[in-house]
Amino acid sequence: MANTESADIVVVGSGVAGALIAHQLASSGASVLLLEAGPRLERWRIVENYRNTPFKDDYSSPYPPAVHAPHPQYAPPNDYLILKGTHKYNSQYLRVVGGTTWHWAAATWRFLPVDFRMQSTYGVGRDWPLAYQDLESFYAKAEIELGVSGPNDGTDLGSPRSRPYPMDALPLSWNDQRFQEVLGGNGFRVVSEPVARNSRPYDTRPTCCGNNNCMPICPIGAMYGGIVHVEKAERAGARVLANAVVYKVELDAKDHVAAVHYKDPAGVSHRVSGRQFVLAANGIEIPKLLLMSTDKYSAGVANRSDQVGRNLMDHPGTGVTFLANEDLWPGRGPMEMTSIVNLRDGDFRSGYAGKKLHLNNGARVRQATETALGMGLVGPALDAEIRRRAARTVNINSFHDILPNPYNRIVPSSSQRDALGLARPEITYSIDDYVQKSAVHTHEAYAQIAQLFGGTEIYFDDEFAPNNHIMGTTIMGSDGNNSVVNADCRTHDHDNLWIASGAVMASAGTVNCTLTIAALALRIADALQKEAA
Amino acid sequence: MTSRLPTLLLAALLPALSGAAACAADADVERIKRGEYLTRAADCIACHTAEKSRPFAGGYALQTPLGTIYGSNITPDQETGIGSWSDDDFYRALHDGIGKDGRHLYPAMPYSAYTKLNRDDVLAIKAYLFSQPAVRNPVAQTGLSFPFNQRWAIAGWKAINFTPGPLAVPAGKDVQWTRGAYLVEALGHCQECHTPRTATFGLSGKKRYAGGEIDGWQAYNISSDPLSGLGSWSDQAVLDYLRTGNAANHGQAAGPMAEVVENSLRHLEEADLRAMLRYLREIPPVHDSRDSKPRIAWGNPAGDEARLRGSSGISLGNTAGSAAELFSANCASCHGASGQGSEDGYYPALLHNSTTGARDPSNLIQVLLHGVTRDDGKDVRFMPGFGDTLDDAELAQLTNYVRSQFGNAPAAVTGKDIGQRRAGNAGKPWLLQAVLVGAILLLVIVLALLLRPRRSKPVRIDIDV
Repeated sequence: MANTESADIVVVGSGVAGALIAHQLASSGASVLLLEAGPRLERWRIVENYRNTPFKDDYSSPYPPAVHAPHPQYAPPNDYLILKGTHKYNSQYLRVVGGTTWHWAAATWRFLPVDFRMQSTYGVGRDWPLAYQDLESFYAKAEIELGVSGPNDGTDLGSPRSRPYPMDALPLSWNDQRFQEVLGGNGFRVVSEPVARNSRPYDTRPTCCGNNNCMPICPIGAMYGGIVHVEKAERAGARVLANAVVYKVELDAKDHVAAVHYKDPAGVSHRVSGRQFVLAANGIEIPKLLLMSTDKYSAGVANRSDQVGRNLMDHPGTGVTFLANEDLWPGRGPMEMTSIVNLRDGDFRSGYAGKKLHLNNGARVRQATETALGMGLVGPALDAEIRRRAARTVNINSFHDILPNPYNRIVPSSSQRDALGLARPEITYSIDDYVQKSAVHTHEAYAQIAQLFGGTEIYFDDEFAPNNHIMGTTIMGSDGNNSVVNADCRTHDHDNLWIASGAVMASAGTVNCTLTIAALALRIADALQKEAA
Repeated sequence: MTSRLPTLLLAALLPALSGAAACAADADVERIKRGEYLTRAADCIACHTAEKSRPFAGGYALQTPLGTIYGSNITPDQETGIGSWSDDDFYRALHDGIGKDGRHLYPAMPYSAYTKLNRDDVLAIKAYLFSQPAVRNPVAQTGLSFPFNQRWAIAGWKAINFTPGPLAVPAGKDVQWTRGAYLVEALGHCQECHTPRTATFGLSGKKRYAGGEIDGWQAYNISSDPLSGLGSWSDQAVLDYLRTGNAANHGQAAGPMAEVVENSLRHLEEADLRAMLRYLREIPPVHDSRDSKPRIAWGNPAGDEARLRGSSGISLGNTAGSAAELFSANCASCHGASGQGSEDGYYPALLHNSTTGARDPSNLIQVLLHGVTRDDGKDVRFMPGFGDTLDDAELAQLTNYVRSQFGNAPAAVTGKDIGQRRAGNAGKPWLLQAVLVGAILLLVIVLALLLRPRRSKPVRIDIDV
């Protein structure tokens, strides 16, 4: 097949990882092509979609899946993911230019140093082939690129820093202030969460003005999203090709990647050659692509270890909702501002999962209204009840650190196809005792917190919910026999194939993975620049 | 003791000096401090700074209808700055518009205003500039095309448009008026932007402060006319605007005026701001018969939001069903669905707003294309530009909606208008260029004839030092 396109650097996936790499490489003078399966959407169009959707709870709703590049949608369900196993891995991600950071809480935590050494420290999970210190300068760089505001008041989050946050933290909402005050003296450590959200004008983006719908869309761009670096990459000379669904990685005789192949929305195939290839999609679509690329090896590309698609992780979450004995008025400012961090680490991690708990600061007016209407109230009584519930509802959620387990995996379905005839992802997933045991303890912590607020109508949501942090499926390691990429995120099997994604992460930690993904991406960008030199 | 030493060094040396020298040094410190204030009031930094980290080092590109003029390096660097300039050299530049090399300065340097400065103040400005770090920074030569590159022809321009000399104070004007006039006319050089230009590119004497144009932005009529100028503004509004660039329900500074607030006005003392207010109040009204209402008196709150919901759907296509939808999607998240802004005034109301109520759409379009950045000392007011996300037709739709709903829309703008603004050539039609070129060429010929007996002598004024 003749080439349709060619570039020095071919990046597959235009989310934060791919966009950061495309931007840095294009800025250094390389020719860069950024391929994105999904369409391009303007922020203002997404804002209108959100306002118009009746499914306000489904953050994918303003991003209708393209027919040629579907992504999971649950309201109404499109059943894109085929879910098997004892627990449903009903995760969300977006296939659009800019990726899934269009909708996120913008939490930009660093891992703890010990998160990289779980096996040697606690005898569970895996060690990373790199240490926190190897990544620290890239964490710092990522914080500058994304524009992170955080507690510059000396708060120690356990991840040593070489420089302050680029911006100070936003002032806490009343809800978060009270959360910090009430819990602070009672054995919980509540801190301001580092976030990629502007507390002052930064990088030509405005200060957060508290629209309180970070998810599904920041209407003013105060919150960082991968689209920021997509646009920067374009200004630096990178080309972005939307609606290009990469379905095959082609190897040459020397096991170098020679090209990737994509289908356009009409189903026509195109070949893109290049010198270096970076897979920067998510932890479901990347292994699917590698496992579908069977022209040379029946096990797929980069899969000598048989680990591609395995070790699928997330942060299984449980929650609690109750009515406090005081008005807290969640909904002012961003949707999430504070976290409880004293359960992230400890000797207990050899027996059960560490976790982070976080207060939901999303407005509760809609839920309060539904409940009050359900109570059959009308007139002033209805108004009063809506106010009471909107002011007093507390909702807390959690991330549990799941261990990499090769039986939790994603494979291309052997029977189910999407509109372009490409396999749909089939996921088998179970949440083991390591997390279950921790969740029991989390439940107790929730009960204690509810008590501190004089909570009534306490509702525990103990069923694990997904948090859309897709990790582990092209896992990093020093041994090519049991891992897919090395410490540089380069595949063990193919010299010019790199993976920039949560898929490489060897442990899940207890915090949102985007900053770690961004730091690893910037490290890849440096390595690619050295290769070119 | 020379005045070139940085202030701090001076202060450090003070204890070691004997009485008389210490007095002299005290006087120097005092003069430098006064010079700093005057330098800010004269906003020298605006055109003589390209990078904020290197103030006064020059290189700022000023776009004029005649071409790009680069601000010079006015740090005390001997070679590339003004380190070798004497007091008389410096005074002559500000008072007569002539550089140290004897060549005429382009009138982009507002010596029409600075000529009114006292020599004492001019030398205080020099003392301050000479107390700043010398920065070696050779500035690109201004390269205008013929005939504008003929510096000697500036003499012709001066003969018609420039009168050197001090500020004229009519009999009976008190100290506050006089101070205000000095700040507005001399230091602030407000006329440079706010007074329209004549065919020979001089300041119109008949239409003082009736509004002008700079870099594609409108500098509005600030005469005391109640409909066309500032006559309808309260004292508080004028003072707020001068101090912060933000006068609630009146107007907000953006573009070049935001820079003036940031660099200059916000640093001025209250008494000086009040003197400016006083003087502005007494500028003779210049009325434009097309103005039926003050700029700030237009507009109604929008009420389209409820109508939009349920009528427009979810779409993968980046198209809007209506201008109201474009407004809701792009503007309402900060300015409110009604356009009335936020309670604390950080996000201004779009109605009762000088920018939307102006007859000319320039400033609204500029703000939509490029956004707003204004540091008022307490807060950075920022609005992103929409030039990258909305196309010309969408921006035209949005401009027309905002002007019709919240302001004054005597005529609709088109996508083509927006395209011209993007390219930066609106407001500079070829006809005007041609008229200017013709007028200047004519002047050149007339002057050549007039100056014939002395033509072998370069145009130069020598001052004994």
